[in-house]
Amino acid sequence: MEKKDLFTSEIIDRLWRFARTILRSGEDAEDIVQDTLAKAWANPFTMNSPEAYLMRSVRNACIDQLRTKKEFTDEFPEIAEPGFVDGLNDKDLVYNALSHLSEQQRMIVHLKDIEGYPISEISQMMGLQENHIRTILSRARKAMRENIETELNYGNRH
Amino acid sequence: METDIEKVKHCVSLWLEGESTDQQEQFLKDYFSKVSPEEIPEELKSVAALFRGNAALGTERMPHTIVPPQRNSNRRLWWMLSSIAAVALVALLFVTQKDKLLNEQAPATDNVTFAYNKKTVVPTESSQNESQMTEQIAEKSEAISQGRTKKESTHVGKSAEIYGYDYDGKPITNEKEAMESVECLSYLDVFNENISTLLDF
Repeated sequence: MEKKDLFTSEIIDRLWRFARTILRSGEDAEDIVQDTLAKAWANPFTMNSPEAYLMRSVRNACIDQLRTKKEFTDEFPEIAEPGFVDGLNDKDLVYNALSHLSEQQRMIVHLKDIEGYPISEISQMMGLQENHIRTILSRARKAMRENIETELNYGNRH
Repeated sequence: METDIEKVKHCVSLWLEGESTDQQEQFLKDYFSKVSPEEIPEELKSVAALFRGNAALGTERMPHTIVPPQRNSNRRLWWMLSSIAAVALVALLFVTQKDKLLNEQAPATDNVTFAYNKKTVVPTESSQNESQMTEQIAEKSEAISQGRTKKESTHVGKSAEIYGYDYDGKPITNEKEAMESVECLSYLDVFNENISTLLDF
């Protein structure tokens, strides 16, 4: 893969969606993706799987940003609340349910259920064993189902 | 169809445990994307929302485009021209100063010469200047060519004509070899002169 192939819309969109799920902000995700691609462009490219490398880079950058934000939101806890979703369309329900998960759960659910990566690749990206990935996935899916059931029941009563 | 519903429920339970295969997950994606909401059992509505929501999120695009950084062609051109100019300047200096370097007399290095007849070539102090050494080499060459040699005993006690001594200090008894050695020494002298001149320059 050549460097210019990094700038295909498919890869950029995938990186952005992943960053947005982690950060819960589309604007912040754009900044992260731009920075990641700029660094990848500036550095020599020798790895066999550039996309996996970029996904890991985005993940690490997002974690760093979240840590920085956490120091800020610890002081201002009201800012740490997940975004309120007004609509009941499926996309918003899932996005809201994702925001209630931990960072690790959000990453794994996004990579598996939204982007369709196999467990083996997710295991490499996250640095976790496959069995561990499945366990996290199970807990996250069940938690999201409960959250959506609550939203649907609330929506049906009102 | 009941069979489909039972199969769907079975696959959903495996999916929630994280144990479903890729084929079972694809089956669930296809089912929930095609089935109408009214046909979905109540207990599966939240899972249906999950699958449909995941599919929708997977098609979203970043609002703004990113373009690859453009190479600064002006900067590259400047570097190329600078490199060419530097090489041209060095070449010009060499050409204009070459004659001067080669024709200038090397300053007398009174006390330094190389002892070719010793095992290791080290600078040694000598009272002879270089012009005298050149004369000596010329004299020896002439002596060898005219057959005027000195008979000396070799280290093994045998008499033989010795024309000089080689790099390792061994006597040279072959005339041709002696001539070549002298010629080589004279070239080395010229080489040393040029090196000294360049270093001083």
